Amino acid sequence: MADIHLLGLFNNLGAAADAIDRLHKQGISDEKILVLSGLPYKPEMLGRPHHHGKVGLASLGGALLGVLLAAFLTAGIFLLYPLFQGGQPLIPIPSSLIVFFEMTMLATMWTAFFSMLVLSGMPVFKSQPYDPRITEGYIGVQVTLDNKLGDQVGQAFKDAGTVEVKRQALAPAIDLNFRRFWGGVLGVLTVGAVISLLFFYDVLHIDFPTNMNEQFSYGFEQGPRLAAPAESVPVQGPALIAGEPASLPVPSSPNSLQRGKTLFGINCIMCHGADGTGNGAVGAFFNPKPFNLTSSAVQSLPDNELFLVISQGFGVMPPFAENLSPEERWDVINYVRTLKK
Amino acid sequence: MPEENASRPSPTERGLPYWEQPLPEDKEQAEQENKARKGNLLLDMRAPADVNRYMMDPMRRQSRRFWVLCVILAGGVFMWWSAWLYQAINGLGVTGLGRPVMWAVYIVNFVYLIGIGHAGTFISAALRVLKFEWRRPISRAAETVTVFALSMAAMYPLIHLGRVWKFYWLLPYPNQRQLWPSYHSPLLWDLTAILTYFSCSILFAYVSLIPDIAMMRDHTTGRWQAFYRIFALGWRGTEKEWAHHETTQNVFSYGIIPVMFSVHTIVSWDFAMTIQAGWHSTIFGPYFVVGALFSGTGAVIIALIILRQTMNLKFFLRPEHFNGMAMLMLVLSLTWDYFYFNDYLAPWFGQAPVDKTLYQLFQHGAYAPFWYTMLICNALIPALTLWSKKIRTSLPALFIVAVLVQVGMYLERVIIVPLTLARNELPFSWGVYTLQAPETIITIGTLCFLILAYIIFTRVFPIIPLWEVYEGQALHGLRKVGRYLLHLKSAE
Repeated sequence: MADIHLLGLFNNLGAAADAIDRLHKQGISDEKILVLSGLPYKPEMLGRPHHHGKVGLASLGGALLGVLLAAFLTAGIFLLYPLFQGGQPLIPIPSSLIVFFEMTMLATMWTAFFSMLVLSGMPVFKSQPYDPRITEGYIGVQVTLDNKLGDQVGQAFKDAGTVEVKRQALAPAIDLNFRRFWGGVLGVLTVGAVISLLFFYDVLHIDFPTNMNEQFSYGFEQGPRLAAPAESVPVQGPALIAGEPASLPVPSSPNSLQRGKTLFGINCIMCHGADGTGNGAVGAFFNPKPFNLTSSAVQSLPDNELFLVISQGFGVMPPFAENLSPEERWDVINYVRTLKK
Repeated sequence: MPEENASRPSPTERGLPYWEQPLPEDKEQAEQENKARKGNLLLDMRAPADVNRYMMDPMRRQSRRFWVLCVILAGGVFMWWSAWLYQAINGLGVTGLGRPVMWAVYIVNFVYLIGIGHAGTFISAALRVLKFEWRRPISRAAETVTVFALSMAAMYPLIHLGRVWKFYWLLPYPNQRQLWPSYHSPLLWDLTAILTYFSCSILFAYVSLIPDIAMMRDHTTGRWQAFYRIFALGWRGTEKEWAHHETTQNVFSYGIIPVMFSVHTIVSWDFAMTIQAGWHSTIFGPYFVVGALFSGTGAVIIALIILRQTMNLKFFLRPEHFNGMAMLMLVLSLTWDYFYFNDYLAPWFGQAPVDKTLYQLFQHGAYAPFWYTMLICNALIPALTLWSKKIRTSLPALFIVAVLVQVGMYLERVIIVPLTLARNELPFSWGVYTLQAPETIITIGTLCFLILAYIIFTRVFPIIPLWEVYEGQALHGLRKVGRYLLHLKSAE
């Protein structure tokens, strides 16, 4: 019947090893001895058997869990709810491998941490045989034994050169373990139930919060939309007010043509092509094709009309008001006029 | 005749604690041993009771300057949150972001802070695996840099969201729109990588902290003791606990190194997977990883120098540690040079018009000031200074070099993100990014938070892993070979 803890404190390894030898000679087995230290001495340094932990094994199990989690994230979800993206496979292998790697490592390390706690019996908040000097380099040798053997073992500690011997009655630990076990089971069941509910929308409907009705909107955005008064808003391309130039034109000059050519090379050439016939590299992808600027259809338009097309865009052509100042737009128009055949 | 080479009885045989090992009687040998102890922390054995006090005294006594600094930093954090609120209410339009520069300072900060976060793991995990013994006193300072830098880096994708309250759309969860995140996207690889790296870095730092929290619990009273009692988890230092502790640290060390490499590789893929000129590069992965380690090592050096001066940690942080860190930084600088040259070489050889345009801007265009400063700070200055042991062990000089490295590496990211993005294949969509007030305030505010969290952490938890230092001191020793004392490192 073991009913007390005896803790002998030693300030050097030799004395502690000696004390452990004396305990062995008294027939106390290694399982009843516990060594406490402020730094990781190897058990062999004290003549103790090597401790084979199972943290490594547990984290291997964690790695397996991680693989399963990654399989669910990358393959499971998209098999349950297919989401096709143009031309790509539903479950792409290279990018899934990345998720597999990260999830495996995540689960491995988390499992290592929690298995360290569980296997070491942590956390413990009840009173245990201990002395603060253990974090000052002292070594504690704890023995769990019969009360009547206490004096004999205490004498063995003293012979080995102990600094102090502490006695502590064995605390009943059954209640705590009982509660911990059932608390753990309950926790796992609850978490499992919540997770399984979450992943089945048909069971637990979680409405998708959109906040649509909470965001900023102004009166005219809320509708019903009113029709614009007739002829007040141009609905067919850029508006042109007869005789009113959109801005002061830049007269055609060699300088203006030179500038226009450079700007054309930066802003227009990819769609309209170097010669303006609409055969640019990017334009090839468009349907309808970009306008042929050399054609009479374009060249017969008045300057104002060209100015507005450049400023506001037309069809798929983007507006250039941000990129080009009005003067620069006139330079481009002057250059475009020279493309006429 | 006395036996000259008879080995001295070990301290345990004499029945003395390891820290009371007397000097040898031979005068010459005693002198040599004294010199070795002075130079090397792991040989300079003191009673752990005293060493605990060296650590705890500066944690308990705070000068008025410390509190003033805390208030200033907290003000910076408040400014950050105010600016963020302003940006959330008014939209991202209040920043300088706009077509074509949709990624700018926020992404630069994100990459920079994740980069800094790489050093902690590198120093504590990789140097642990490789058995570099000088890492012992500095590993926690590095891990703490990692934890707080990563927590701030993780804020930046959120700050970059127009509607930050919808951040949970990134997570896979069931909803009636079946809006699943797509794992085709590098951004989601980033999410999983950073989640793994961040959570495992915290656990890694905490695992190594547990024995030291137990030390704090044993040497405090009252409320503080109750606080440490919770975090110490009932640690007593039994053989079983130490054995599991060691295995766990090994699992983390070997596990977190590949994760660290994967994180910055994936961050680089955020860029390299696009077809933007200057980004679409196969060497971006290793190039980013090396850059991250480089800037992170510099950041850890800065943190260590400041800690040593303000917390009086002269016993723990000795020239040998700064020497080692500076050598590491020099090696990483040269590696960075190599990868940057490679990253430069392939497009230069290809002579694609858009790459040519970019390189002209770097060499003699508007970007030249940034580009040359980056090259000088990252390549020239470390290469010119860090070869000298005098500079490596001189704290002011090393501090300046480390700060310049930070400037260089920050500029590198500025060049990669907003400057490159402003010049794409189609000249008509070129643009210019200008820094606005919200980004500036948010950047400064997150840095304030990083520093504030760090200095508070150093006052609450021991920033030196004391148990690792004791382990080193107990297991290291000197052996006389001929007339010379050889420093023996533990074989295991």
